[in-house]
Amino acid sequence: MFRKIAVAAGLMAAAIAGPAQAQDYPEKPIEFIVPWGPGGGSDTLMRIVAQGLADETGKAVPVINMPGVGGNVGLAEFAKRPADGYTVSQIHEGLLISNGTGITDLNWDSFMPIALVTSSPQYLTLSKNDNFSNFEEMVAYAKENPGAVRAGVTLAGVPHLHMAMIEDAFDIEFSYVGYEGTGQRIRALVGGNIDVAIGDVSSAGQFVENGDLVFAAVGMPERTEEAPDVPTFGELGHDLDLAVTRGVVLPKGTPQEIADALEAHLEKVMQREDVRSKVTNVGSAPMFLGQEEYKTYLGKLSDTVNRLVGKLEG
Amino acid sequence: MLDAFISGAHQVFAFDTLIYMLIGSIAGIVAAAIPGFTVTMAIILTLPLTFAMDPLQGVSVMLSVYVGGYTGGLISAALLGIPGTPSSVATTFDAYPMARGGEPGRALSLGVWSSFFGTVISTIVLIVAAPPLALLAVKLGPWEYFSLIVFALTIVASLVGNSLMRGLIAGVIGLGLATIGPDPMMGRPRLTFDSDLLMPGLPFLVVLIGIFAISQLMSEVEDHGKGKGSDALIPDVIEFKTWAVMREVLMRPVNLVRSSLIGVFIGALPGAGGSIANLLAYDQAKRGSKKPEEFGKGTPDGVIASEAGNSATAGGGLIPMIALGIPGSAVDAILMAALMVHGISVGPRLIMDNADLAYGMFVAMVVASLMMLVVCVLSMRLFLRVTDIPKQFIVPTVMICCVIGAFALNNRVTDLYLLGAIGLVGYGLKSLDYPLAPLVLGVILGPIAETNLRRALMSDADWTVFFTRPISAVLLAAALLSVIFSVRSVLKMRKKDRPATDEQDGD
Amino acid sequence: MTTPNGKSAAADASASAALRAKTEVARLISYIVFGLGSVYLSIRAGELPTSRWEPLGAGSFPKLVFAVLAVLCLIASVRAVIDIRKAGQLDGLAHAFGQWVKARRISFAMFGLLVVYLLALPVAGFSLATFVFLLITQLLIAGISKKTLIQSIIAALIFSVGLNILFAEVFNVFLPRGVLFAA
Repeated sequence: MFRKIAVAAGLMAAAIAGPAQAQDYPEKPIEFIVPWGPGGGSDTLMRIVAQGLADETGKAVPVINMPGVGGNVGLAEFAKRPADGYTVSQIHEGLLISNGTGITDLNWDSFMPIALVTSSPQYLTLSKNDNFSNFEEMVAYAKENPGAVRAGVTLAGVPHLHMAMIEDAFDIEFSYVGYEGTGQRIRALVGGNIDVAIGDVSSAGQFVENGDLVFAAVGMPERTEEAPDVPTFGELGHDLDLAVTRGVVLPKGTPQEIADALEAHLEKVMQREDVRSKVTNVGSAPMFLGQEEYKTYLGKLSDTVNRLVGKLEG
Repeated sequence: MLDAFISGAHQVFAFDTLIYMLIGSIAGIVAAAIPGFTVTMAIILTLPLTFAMDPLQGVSVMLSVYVGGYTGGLISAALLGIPGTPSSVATTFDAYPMARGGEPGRALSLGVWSSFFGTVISTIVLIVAAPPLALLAVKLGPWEYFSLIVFALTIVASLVGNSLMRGLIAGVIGLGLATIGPDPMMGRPRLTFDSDLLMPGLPFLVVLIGIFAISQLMSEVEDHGKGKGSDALIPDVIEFKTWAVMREVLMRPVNLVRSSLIGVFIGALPGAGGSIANLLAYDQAKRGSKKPEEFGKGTPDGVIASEAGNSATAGGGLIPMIALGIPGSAVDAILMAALMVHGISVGPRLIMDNADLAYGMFVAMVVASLMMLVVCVLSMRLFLRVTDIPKQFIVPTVMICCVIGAFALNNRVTDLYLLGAIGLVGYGLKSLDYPLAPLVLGVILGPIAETNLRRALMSDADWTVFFTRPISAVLLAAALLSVIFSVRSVLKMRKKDRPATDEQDGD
Repeated sequence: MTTPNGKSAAADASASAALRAKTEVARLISYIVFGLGSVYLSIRAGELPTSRWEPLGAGSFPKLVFAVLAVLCLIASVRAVIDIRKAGQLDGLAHAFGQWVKARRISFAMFGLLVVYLLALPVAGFSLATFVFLLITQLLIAGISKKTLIQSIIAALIFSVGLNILFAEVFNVFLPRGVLFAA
């Protein structure tokens, strides 16, 4: 009986928030489900975007953290929310990997991708050690001693995928040590408990500046502004795109008008000077890809993940 | 350096900053005082407000929430017997019996002063020794962490109450409960039986609220034939003796300093934190005491150890953050994010590049602890009115707060069902005289032990590394000594008790 | 988890040997329940797949923990049986149990209400469900009279509707709204 009531209420809500209202969207606060805990990269970035969206639309955009099982608890709950544009959420590469390794049935196409908003370039980061101090030396050492280079990753997570991409491209083999989150990995790298890890400017930049760690290569098509001395993987022989990209999604079945309206708002948000500078400050790059481009991007990403996912399964 | 210090202090002592800090302090105390509400929640709510402030101003406000939050948990621990935050579990052991014994004012004053001195001591350590301590903390690998947790597990012996056997069972149940949910290494579900309820695991805070709060509230309304239930929980005696209590705290310098240093070191280790420090400090105080049998019955030493220990983790947690840009807890991570949003990169160069900010944070810590002290001393009378409110209002309302807290943590309805189930189990265990603190300790320590054990063996498959890394070996030796010490004191107690009372309790 | 049912212990530590024996029976039941549960969970944990990334898989740690728990429960049960046989006097067990439940009738009633409340929360929404829960629980503890009724209604309103407004408006934290009033 509850289900009937729920359905009835849902229909009612849908009827009230019908397509006619699309040009007035949003008329009330938009809940932003961040499927990760507070204090992490996704949380910080999405709070900045949410704040920008609130400033842009004049309606509150409260962030709701729903962490658990690598983002899948929050997204599963999000998928059940009414598709009226008043609940939005966020995905990144992790979802595609969780789907590939069978942890969740949800995938990027279980939602309506609206816009890719931030991209965080990832760097292959080396600890200070006696065996290598740059990328070529690391590859040479790893080829001579297969499995001797200890790589810190989140097992079956995005950094694991990135490491697998490097292994695949340069034909080397790491041994893996599991860590939870970038902060932990960088700490272990500084402490010398692992040899290589994926890091970013916000967590490892100052250690590199200080000479404690080395950025060996950046997973971007071009060198980055923050670390102009670090070569790209392309320069080192193989084009690799290692970035964590975060985009905003709506539940499947949201009226197209609402989706278009949100897309337009987000485009303006990502042009706001305060949003751009805050996103840059936390070590990420503000960007904007609309619905179609974002879908194409995710489709391409999905192919990479599916090709390499076998290397991640334990 | 002096310039930076003055510039930092100047920014903190601006009038509007002080006002915001005062509000932050009150917010932190209130949030922590309500069972189920956490400091993390209060800090997240402050975060957007600080976006609009200067970096140092924003961080100062957050620090005052943080410091207030480490004290607020004391209030419900002392007056309701329910830890207001995970950091005040050990406070319930002695502050609550003391309050029930007719001295609620003394229990609160003791806790407030201990928290104040704990924060101040930790800030001094932070200022003097942050860089070397942070470097030490970062060098610790999975081996050292695992050995440290093994050592921490041995403190179960101090928390067992009447029966060592039931204490051990409760502790191991805690370790077991923590394994339900996603495997910490691979994220794959285990022991979840494909149920949505268990899929995300049992959040520590939900276990804490269920085990302590729900079971405590249920036993409050038990009817042992002593009249109707509309009377207050604690007899109405209001005496603070603020200054006398301050002297009482200062007369126990060994306990105070030892507990504070434990708090600083545990706080400085990323991933550990206040929830362990209060129990560890309590354990050490009990072992160091000449009268260990008074612990658990309302001794001031127990209150001092727990509150100084948990408050000192505030300064301790800032050590790796300020010195290296490595957050020790979720709260530190949010603090760091707040700085980064303002364009300040946090890392090993923070003290060099933004000296005024770093020194300003030290000043803010001291100011925040003074504010906490003033707010608490002035409002203690108000807190104590809680004890006048009849049971019929307190019990259901606190239960609602627990429900809100358990929900707001992760915004998951399934957590509420877990809360109910765990609450009933907790009540059952309590009725059968199982001690509850070891269970909570198991839930806290289990995941840290497991991830570090597995991580150590992934780094090096050789088991002997645990004994060949010096710090790890020392910690394991300490764990062994701790067990020997406990066995000896149990045997001694038994010899003393047996003939006199014939109290045999299963072991 | 199973509900351990049995007798209070802390309160009657000083009571007679007969009562201790009865308490010990209740504990024995809990040891057996925990012991059997941990044996089962240990076996299930052993079935978890191993990993090629690490020497210890997902199952090793829980398997070990639950095995230790099973052993502890076994030892505790044996000791409890010895104690009970020594003390004897197990007559009147049902009566003692009845007394025990009777002293805690309000506790269990309150827990029952909590369960109903938690189940109703996602359906009825925070304000309504909380109001009803608070009102009934307060009257249950204090007894019904004109004075308690008025007091309870006021307190219940403040902490249901009031809290909901406070959280939604000031903190932007949304408590369950319920599907009945979804809009």
